[in-house]
Amino acid sequence: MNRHPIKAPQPPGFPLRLLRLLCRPEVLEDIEGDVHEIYADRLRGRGRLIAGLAFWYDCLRFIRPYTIRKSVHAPAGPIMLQNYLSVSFRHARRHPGFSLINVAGLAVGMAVAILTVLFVSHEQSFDRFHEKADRIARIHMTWIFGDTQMEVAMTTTAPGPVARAQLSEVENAVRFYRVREAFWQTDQPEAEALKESGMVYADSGLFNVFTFPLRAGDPDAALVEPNTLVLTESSARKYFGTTDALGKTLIMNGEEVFTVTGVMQDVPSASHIQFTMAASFSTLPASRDVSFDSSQYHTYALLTPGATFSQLQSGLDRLLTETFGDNPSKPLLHVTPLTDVYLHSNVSADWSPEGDIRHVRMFSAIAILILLIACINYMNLATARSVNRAREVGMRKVLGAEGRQIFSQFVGEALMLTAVAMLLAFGLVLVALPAYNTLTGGEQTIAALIRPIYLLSAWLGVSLLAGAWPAFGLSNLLPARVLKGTYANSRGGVLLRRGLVVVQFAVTVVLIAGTITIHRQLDFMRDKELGYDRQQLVIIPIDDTARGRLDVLQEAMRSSNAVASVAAVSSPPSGGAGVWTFNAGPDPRPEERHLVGVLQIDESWVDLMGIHLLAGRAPTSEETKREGTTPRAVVLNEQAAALFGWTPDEAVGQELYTPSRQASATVIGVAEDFHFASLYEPIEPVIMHAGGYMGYMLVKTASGAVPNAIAHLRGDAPCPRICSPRHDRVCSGNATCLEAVQ
Amino acid sequence: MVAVLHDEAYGVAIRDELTSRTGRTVHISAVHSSLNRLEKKGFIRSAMGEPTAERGGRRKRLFTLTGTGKQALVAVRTLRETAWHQIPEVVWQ
Repeated sequence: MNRHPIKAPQPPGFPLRLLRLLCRPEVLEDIEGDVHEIYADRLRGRGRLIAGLAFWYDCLRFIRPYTIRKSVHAPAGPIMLQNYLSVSFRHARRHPGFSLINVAGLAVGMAVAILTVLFVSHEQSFDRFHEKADRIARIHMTWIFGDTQMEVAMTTTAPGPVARAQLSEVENAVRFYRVREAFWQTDQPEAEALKESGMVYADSGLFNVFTFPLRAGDPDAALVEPNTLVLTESSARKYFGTTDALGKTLIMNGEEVFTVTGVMQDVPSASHIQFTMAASFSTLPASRDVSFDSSQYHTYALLTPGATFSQLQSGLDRLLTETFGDNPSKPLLHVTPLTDVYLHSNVSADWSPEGDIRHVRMFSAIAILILLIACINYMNLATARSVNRAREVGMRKVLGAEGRQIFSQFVGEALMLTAVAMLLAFGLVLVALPAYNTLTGGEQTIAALIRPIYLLSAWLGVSLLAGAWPAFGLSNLLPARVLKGTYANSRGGVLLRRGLVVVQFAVTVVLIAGTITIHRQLDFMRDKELGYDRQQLVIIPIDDTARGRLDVLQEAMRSSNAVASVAAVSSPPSGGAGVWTFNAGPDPRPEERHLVGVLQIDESWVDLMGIHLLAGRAPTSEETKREGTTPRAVVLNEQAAALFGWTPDEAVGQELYTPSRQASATVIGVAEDFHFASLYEPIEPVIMHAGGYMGYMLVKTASGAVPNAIAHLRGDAPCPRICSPRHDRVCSGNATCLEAVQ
Repeated sequence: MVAVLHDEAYGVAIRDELTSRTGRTVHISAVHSSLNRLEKKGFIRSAMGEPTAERGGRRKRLFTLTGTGKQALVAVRTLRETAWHQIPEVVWQ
């Protein structure tokens, strides 16, 4: 007897089925034979996996115009279309729950995807509106002090003009100096001074390098002369009530007089460089001094056409070597392409709108997952319902319908449902857009997305993704079995469906778990022991007028019974600190210098903040009043004591020298670590010294009396601006994500 | 190729022959579409052969040259050879 050999592995079935569905019968047998033969050949040489994949490829390559069969039937005429439509509608009406879930699921999925696309495209569009965006580089700097480094988004005055003069790659350079707060008024006698927190000084190349269109004025000459000023349209309206401000006069802080030489369009929201008015850089005394002293200037360079960012980088490195030789504390300069600054650069002291590429990626992934869930949901519901529609399909087949016609009928149905879902989705987006814009702080409109090509590809993509598989299953039904009533789903089909349900649940669980985790983290940040007592705390920024009369002001506040205590400090709680260098001992030791945060405090601050002293004492009021900005009596935190190698008890009585003031200070106390900066950052060494420049007043209100106290403060304080503690704002970046995920 | 392979001219065999003679790899679907065009133009005709196990039980489509095909081959060869002989000697020096 002839024994059969062990059965050889068979090629994958799906591509063959596809060929059979699509190809003309005359060419089919030949093609099938050839691909089989090649498969068998590869199986011997390359193994099963490769052969299988190649088989797929071979089969797909055979789908060509001449191999595709022409329909023997006429394309579905109006009568047949009408029949399809009415059957679909009847079906939808008879199972309203099913249709509703299906359409609503798709609509919600698409709405989420649309909102995410809006967010992502806005984030990606940052700074691309400048015509020369691909030639602009942001230059920033790293300071090196022994072992410590400090990277800031700014440079000193030197790199911009020096690069422009000495590097052939640089066509132009612009420096910005941001002024956090200034008061401006017109030259009318009764004019009121208005606060401006978005003012910059900028080099005259501003309008040459960047695309900020001028409505009035000469872009090349506007910022050349000292004391010239370009207003945005909004700021022009703010001071003059009209955008026609050319040649008018504005006075800064009651003394410096500026002439308006230009009015520009408002800075678009998709710009990381944000300002409301630009004064000429030549006004600043610093403009006459090209140095490496103090990094306070945002610097941008325009490359000549054809020059690369890496050429600029090596040019800057060369300039630094020329200036500093091989001095070990030579600073570093870094080059970032303008279009990467917003999303990819994370350096301290940057302009305030900062994006994060991780958020963009995370949101894109979530949108794709949600859309996928919606499609899987549609597929599952549609295949589950296909049992009910099997009879219809069987009948159609008996009456002569081809598999392909059934296929197109059901894909058509998917197209219809998707179209309805898309309309609903746009409706949802329109409703949600105002809330969404408040959440993200953007000003998105849906108009950007209404482009036929986007809509069409989304429509077709979703319909095919969701509708093709159920339609394929239905078109393959055997009419005889269906009509006999022995219809059941094929084993493979059931398995696939179960698999899809598992995927759907897994994705949902991951998303929910992610939301819960972020929520917990936010709770943690809200409840975290900050190391200081922030209950009943009100923070009041102080301006120059108030600073001169701080004593009087504090006394007036203490007189209210709603106020428990008052203190002054240089930066608000969790608002960070300035940075100076210090070395241990009473005299300079340059090689032992450390970078340490500095807070200026008064005698009541330690007590008011509820900070726990491990050793020593808080400063006295004599110490606070004794000296201006030179530290004499200082309190260290644990980190700072450890930095200089002292235990808290050893530290008290030690001397610290700071080259910034060329003086030494005595340690009078050591405080337990507290979060003086953002919770995102680990607690760093900080030195609190008595006296100096106070930026904020802290008011501890009597328990439960915050509103009363605020009312009292508003009544008396010359500067009636009350801020909430900063850590709530620090958290809000994350809170935005949380609410979006939910 | 159809002529070279004579009795055994079908898709895979033609592809293998092409590969071994020219060193080029050609996708089988490209061979098929060329054969299809040649058949449409009447240079070759085809008939179904015997099924084999290797081909998953499918029959081969065997191609043979038609009279027009033979004429076309001869015409191409003549054209080449006359052109060849007219290349002046100088070119080769």
